[in-house]
Amino acid sequence: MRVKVDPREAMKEFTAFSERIQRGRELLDKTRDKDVQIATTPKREVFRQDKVVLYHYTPTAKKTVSTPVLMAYGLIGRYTMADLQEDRSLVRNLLAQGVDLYVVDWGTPTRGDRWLTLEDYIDGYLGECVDFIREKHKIEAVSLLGICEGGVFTTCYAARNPKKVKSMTLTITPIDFHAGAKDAPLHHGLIGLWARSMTKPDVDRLIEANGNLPGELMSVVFSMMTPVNSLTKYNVGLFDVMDDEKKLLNFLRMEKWLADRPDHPGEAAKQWLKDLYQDNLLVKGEFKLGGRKVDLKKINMPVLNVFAEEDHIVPPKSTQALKPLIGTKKYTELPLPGGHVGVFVSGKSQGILGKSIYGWLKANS
Amino acid sequence: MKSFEQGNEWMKLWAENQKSMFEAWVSGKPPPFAFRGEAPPAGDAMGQAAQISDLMRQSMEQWAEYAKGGWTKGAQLDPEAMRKLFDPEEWKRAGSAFDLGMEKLTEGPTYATLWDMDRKTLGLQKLWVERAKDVERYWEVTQAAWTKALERFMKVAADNKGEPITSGRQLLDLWLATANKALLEMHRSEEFLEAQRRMTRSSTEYRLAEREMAEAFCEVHHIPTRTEVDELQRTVVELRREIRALKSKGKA
Repeated sequence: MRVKVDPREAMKEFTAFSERIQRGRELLDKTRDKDVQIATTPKREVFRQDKVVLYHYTPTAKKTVSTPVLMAYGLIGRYTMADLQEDRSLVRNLLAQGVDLYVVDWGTPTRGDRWLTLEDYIDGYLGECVDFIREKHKIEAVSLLGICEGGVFTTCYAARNPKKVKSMTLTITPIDFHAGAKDAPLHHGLIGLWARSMTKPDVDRLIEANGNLPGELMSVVFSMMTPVNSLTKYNVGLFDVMDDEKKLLNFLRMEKWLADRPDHPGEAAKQWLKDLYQDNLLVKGEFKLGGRKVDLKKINMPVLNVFAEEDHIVPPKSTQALKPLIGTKKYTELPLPGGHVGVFVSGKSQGILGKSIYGWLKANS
Repeated sequence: MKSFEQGNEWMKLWAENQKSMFEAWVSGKPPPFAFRGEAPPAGDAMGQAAQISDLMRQSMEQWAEYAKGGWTKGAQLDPEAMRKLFDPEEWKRAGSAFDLGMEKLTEGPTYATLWDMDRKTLGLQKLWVERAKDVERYWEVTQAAWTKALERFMKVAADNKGEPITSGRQLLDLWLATANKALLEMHRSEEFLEAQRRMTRSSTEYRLAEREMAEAFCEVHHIPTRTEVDELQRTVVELRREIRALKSKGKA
């Protein structure tokens, strides 16, 4: 029998646990919503089309990178992850070093947005934002910074509009949607497994019934990758941090971000699940937008590809697949410790991420 | 005449006329606009009402019989009749094949949907049962993983190999790690994926059937349906797309 718990030690442990709960309760009692605000870096709206808003972050330092950067998150989750809290914010890090930064907010899609396609987001909204910045700054090209699904958007945009893109930074971006499945740890690649477990008519009917791909459904799929953590986060995870104010607020901010998961517009979700997750058309050179194939060889600007070594959502091999497919030799990879979200929010990788992207932008923009 | 007999007479007359109209409809003859037979004398309306449910039932049964024959004959529409149906020249003539065709189109579906709501309700119930079964199966698969996790945990905890567990927290961590692994294995299994697929599919089909019921209610009560609103929104999105394309053309 491995279990050798001394009853007196067990009592001490229980007492310590009770004390922690008591302290935690006091902390929770005095914590207010304003204490867990996310995405607080000042910014102002400069362009709007339908529900999509382009924000310009207020500069905090003298400009050191000549080309403005447009940051694009995907439609699964929200861009606020890049600005979760003051001391863990890629946005603040870049601003502090003199990067002129914009972000596109896709808004909160409702049933009325079910007909929006990836073409609408990539050629339409993203393209409009790029053109706005180009016109405002009177420049030929902007730098793109894509995150996760947003990285796929910027990749496709850059392939279709290479003259308008000065450089492209990708972070945690899937390119080969089937890569990394073999010999992977148990919790890796479950989104792909889920997406491929459905038939194409299943996907169509799911969207027909719901209009969009429900954010709640995606949350369940994400939870399946870390099942016990998801089940115990409020009765184990929270108890572990609740007597430490800083950790407690980090926990609550992360919860706030996780809870803000918009629905993914239906037609775009069909393309995402069927064309990319199921058929893996992007790496095959067969992915079409508006009837035209996306030719990754057209990407001729410098590319920085940042990925998380422990990413269970986008395995490193999935994003590293980009290198041989693009038409530029100026390709740099930056592996960082941590998982998919950890790259942006963990103290360990946060400093490296901001500094590395800044250094690369300065050299390539 | 007793009120019951009076009611029967009315019923016969009504059924007779409906039958002749239906026969005309399936054989392509002009519709019998005039009543056949004589209307029975007016009687005690209250008395008739007492028998109304029985008469209605009889009428429904007769209609069902006519329908069986009617659909068979209806399938004999020849190409010439179809051509006339869609020929604008024919539309100008009163009592023409166009009128008959219109009648087929308007009366046919009305007749065919006599018990449509009943069929829809029954279908919805069946889908609900399917969904319940699939949800149950899903939980069975999930529960099996928890059982496996518990077995493994008991085995590991009882084993003398490995570092001794000296605190409650260590014991909890061991349980959580064991359960996590068992659940992940389950999430990757074909059995789970199949159960999940079936549950998603039956839930989706149920939701769509539910919508169909709701839309039937909406149509009766002059309320726009989900489908109609979806169509409208599609048009709006397409128009916005066109505007965007035109604007960017203008800029270029």
